[in-house]
Amino acid sequence: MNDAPPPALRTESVGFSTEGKQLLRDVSLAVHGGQLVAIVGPNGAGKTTLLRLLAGDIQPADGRIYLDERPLSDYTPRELARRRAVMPQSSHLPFLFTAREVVRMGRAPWEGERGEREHGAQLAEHVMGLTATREYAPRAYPTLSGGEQSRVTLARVLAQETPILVVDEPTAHLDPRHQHLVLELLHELASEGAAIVAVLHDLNLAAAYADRVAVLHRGELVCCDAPHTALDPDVLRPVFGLDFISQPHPDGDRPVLIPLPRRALAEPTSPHTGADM
Amino acid sequence: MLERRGQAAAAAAAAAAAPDAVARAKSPLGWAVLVAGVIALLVANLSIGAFDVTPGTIIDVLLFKLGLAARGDFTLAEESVISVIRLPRTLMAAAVGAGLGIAGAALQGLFRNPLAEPSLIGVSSGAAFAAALVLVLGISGAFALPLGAFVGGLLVSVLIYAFARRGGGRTQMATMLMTGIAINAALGSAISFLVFLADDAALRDIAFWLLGSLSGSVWRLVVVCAPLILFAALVLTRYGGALNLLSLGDAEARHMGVRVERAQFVIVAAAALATGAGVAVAGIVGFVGLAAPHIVRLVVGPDHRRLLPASALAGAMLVLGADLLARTVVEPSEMPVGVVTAVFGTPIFLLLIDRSRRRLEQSDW
Repeated sequence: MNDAPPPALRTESVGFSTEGKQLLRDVSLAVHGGQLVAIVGPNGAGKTTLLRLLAGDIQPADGRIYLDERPLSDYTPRELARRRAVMPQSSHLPFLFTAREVVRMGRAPWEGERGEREHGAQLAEHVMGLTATREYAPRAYPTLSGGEQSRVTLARVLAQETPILVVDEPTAHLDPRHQHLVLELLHELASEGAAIVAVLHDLNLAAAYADRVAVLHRGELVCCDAPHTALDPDVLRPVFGLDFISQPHPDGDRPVLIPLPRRALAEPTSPHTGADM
Repeated sequence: MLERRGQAAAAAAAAAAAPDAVARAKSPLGWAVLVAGVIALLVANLSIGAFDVTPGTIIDVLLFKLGLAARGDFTLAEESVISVIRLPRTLMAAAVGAGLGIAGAALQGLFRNPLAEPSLIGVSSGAAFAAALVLVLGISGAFALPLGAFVGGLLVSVLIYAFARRGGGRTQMATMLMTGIAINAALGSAISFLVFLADDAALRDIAFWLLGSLSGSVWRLVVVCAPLILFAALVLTRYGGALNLLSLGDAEARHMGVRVERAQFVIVAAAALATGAGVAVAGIVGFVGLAAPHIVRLVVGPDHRRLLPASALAGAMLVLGADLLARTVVEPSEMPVGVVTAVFGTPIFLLLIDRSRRRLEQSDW
């Protein structure tokens, strides 16, 4: 990894606190082009805070954030919008824009470029194909189901055509088939060179699709490594207060995690005992 | 699920917007109707009144006054009725309506709330309070009332905006909405108190002003206010694309490259100007800022790049039509134009809301 290119998105000892509560402490995370990095952790671990910092919605109290090795705060909104897109969990829209109109909004940062009219229209159709949303294209966005809205939002984000993606729980409202469709798509984009960082709730989806998994616990980065290492039951036990069994997936070498909830309360957070496995 | 219910309610009022998202077109017919409607109402307002003037005579008078034609076959009375009374009033009606319509459309987008309207940013209540104060204190001078109202309206808007920005630096639109409602309520009480203090003459003036009237549209005011409204409207039309993105959310808009704080400031300021310049002359004309954007969404859809100019046209139509009725229904007397917009606007609006609610119930919520 010595002559690897610099990371596309990087935090350097970032901390954030609000109302006297330290939400993140000393988090150093790097996301490289070609990688899908999943952020996992229990509720309140600081996943959303880290994502909002990476998106530039909030400023870190300590440390710095770099995009292409340039401080995030140095970018104008438009420069940033051409380098990275942010997918929120859900977008509420009070007006009856069609799904296609919403997707086309993703082209806003490129407005005024030569040939944008044709290219933007073509790209919007293309990404609606990728996200399986073309059949809703003429329907009003607010009348779509949560899962449909979520995929339309992903299409809008992809239409922005950026090499860096910051994604907040892209699978939250989706059925299993579409969860896999979306993560396969993100994985493929990463393998084509995109730098993607995504908060994922489902550990098995992280295990199946992420190149690296960042585990957050009480505002600190416990581990950021390949799924096999980061999603080891010994790592997860103190973080989630839950025992897991890890098995290889029948279709490949990715791990599958099976939680053992009956042992959940036996040993709340005492680390690395691994007692009766 | 609860979240989605809330969304359904919020979208309900907006749903009048696009009866059928699929069939909605960029409808050149819709634009033709809007433009033709404005022109027809302009002509009607110039021609109909205490005595009627034919459209041909109107054109003769206008050409003569512009120095483009020799004096045609019209009487001195016709000439002065058109050029001194009806033309400034008609232009003012169109300008006031256009300002209210476009400001309403912009603020509904900015607040992501289809029930928002220009008075929410305090411009109407500020102007009303200042106007009532001028009348009760008996401050004289030809421009005391419009100037006071104009300044009062803008001052209160600035106050509400500044308050909403306090602390964070980022303007919370929900905070601004609530601040606006609170200040409107406080100023409403203050106006009531001024009404209580007022003598009979001032009372009549205040009531007339609060209900709205274009009878004070003299050229001297029109040439100041109409260009201000036009300027503000032109500024707002530049923010159509940004308003589309802002309707997804402030963070979303920022992620797509919008300078959100600046856009919010410019939109609020331009909306306050577009409204305030009209309110200064005509008093409070309710309902137009709320209704015009809703009616227009039926025709051109929710895209603010089209919605803003179309709402200006629709607002102009509404106020032109309302003023025509206000002047003619109880001839030779006059009704307050705000009463006309409310009386005719409310049932139409309720009908639209009812339609949109049924439409949403049919969809798969």
